[in-house]
Amino acid sequence: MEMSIATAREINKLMARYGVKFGIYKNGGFIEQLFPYDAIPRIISRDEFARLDRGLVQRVDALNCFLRDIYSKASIVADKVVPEEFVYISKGYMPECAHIVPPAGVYSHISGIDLVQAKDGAWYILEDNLRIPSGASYPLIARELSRIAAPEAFSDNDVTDNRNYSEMLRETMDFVNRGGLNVILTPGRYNAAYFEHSYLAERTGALLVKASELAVEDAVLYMKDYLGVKAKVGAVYRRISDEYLDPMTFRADSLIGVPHIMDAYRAGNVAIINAPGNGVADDKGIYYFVPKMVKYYLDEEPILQNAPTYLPYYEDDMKFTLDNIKRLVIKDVSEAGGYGVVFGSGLSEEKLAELKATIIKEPRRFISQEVIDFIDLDIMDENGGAVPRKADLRAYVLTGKSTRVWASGLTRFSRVEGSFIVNSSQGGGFKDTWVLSR
Amino acid sequence: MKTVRFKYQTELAFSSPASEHRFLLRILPLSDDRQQIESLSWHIDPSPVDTLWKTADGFGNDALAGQINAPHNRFCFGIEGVAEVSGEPYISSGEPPRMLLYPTELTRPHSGLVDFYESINNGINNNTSDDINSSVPINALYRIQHFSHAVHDRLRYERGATANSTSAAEAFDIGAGVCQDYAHILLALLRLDKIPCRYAAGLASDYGETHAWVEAWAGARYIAIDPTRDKLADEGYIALSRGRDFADSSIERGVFKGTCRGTQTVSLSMEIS
Repeated sequence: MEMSIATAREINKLMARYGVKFGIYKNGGFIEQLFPYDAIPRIISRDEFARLDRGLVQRVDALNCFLRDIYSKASIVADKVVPEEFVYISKGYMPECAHIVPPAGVYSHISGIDLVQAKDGAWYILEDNLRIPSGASYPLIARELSRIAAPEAFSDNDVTDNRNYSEMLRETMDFVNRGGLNVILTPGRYNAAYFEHSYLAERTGALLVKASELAVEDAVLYMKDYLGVKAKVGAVYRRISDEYLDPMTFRADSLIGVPHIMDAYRAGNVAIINAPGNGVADDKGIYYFVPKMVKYYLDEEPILQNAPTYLPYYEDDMKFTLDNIKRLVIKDVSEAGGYGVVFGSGLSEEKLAELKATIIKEPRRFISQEVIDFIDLDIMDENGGAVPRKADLRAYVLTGKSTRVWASGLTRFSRVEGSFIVNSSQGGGFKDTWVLSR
Repeated sequence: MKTVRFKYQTELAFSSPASEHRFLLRILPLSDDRQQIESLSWHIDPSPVDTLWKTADGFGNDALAGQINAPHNRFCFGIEGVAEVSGEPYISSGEPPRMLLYPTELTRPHSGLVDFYESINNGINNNTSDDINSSVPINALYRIQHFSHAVHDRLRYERGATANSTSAAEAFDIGAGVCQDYAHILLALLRLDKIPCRYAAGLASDYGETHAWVEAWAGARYIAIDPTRDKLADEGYIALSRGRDFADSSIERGVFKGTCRGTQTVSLSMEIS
């Protein structure tokens, strides 16, 4: 595989021109920045991907079962597989959603599952993202531009075509659509992923709308055009978090939400993608229980493993965490995007003592994990040389009629040598992910 | 059972016109075994509104949802009806939802409330050491009333000391508040005591405004208890909506376009015969 520095530069330039950006909030300001692209792709063999595929489908199916259960009978809680305080104290648990059955019973239509591969080749799940997992558009557009810049790379290698993502997404929306338009609801151009909202709308044929273009009447959601003509909306791929989705139900001060949209949803007149309330299943505390969910709901052995995780909530795990804190990574369950992640090894004695005291005081707030020494992938430095950097993989799993894994994904890498934090909000970059077809 | 004729209205006056006004009104009381709603009518002004439909929220309350597009300086809504209301505070129900055991943003206890809870709890233990064999419901009722007394004694009733967004912990530190704050603090204490409980918003005789109290689970049924007045609910109470806290069960929610400030006038009458 040949991919010159010139090609990488060319692609980064094209991406800048096409506006492939994401925004971050820093020190009270808003900065829009490019998501640095690295031209050396991650390559996953056909067999390896087949195993990932089975494991991811299994996991997402179990998570959908969990959500259906939690918002109806909560039998997994009654059966004491998951302690109820983990459910009901979770910020992601939305009591407003109790007893609402979403169209076709699907809660997580688009799941972003973050994995890492350890040095021995084993894959571990790091995190499930079941609310608004973003990022699929980056590998899509990078692939598109690579095809323009270096078409031979794809004709000479057996790379699975990944251009079907929009089609998969479209089918996912159509499957739950309650009659009417598909729309993508964006908070607007100051959102970190605005580029993606517009890109996916264009590719799926959905309409890109802001809340001001939507209105609910008699528990039916309509889109109104500039002439005031209204058309029924059957499915909303919303890129607005639950708290801001409906000022009549959630935060009353939300100006980016659609008043009464929950009413249309409750009445079964519109599908909301992903379903409100999903945060209870991708909570870092609930993560510990996902392998148990696989057994509980599917009666199967989990194919993919979690990173070894301890819950200070349990006495044994508390002791283990405190005794081994120096080699563990501690995560605050209420934070996301790489925030609230602390490596015990990087703390002074004083800070360690502080952290321990906080964990003892608020055991439910933290999980601790073994640090997985995950693989480095080569990235190209400015001089065209290859340097190793930590990288993870976000796999996109779509649930409609069935659950399917997109044969690609977002490989994110840290630009800092030795660093394990790969999040784009923390300055990481991304690569294309090639799944080989032979 | 007594017959209660009730009439309630809230008027919001805007300092400059509001438009594209969407609202949700939880003003439709449901019948239960404490209150039997015999007749009910409601009104909304300006009228007719552009769209209006009857709905339910996620907590089982009936509600009116709607929209008024044209600019308006006032918004008025109210109900009028007749109910048969019991003098007993009990409401039968199936097992309460487990979420009623856990704190919300508005009812999360801080260390001050936890200490307060401990001190009340110690007091109860001393007083009931002879009653260890008493049946669970009586004991639960006793505990619930004890917490309610403690909240009543601790807080000073004062309008303006707190706002709608004031949490139980904040109100506790201020040491004063209105019915909403009394209810939130009692909810926080009861949940610390592992008693499932909910916030009730509604009408109470001689209160002048909409009122709030608590319904606490006592083994087989809810007990409606009013910490503001330190008493169990009687014929003078009609619940309009319920939830985990004020935010779940507020009687009115609205969003509109405009730069105005609003003032609110409530008129309320209850005739018990």
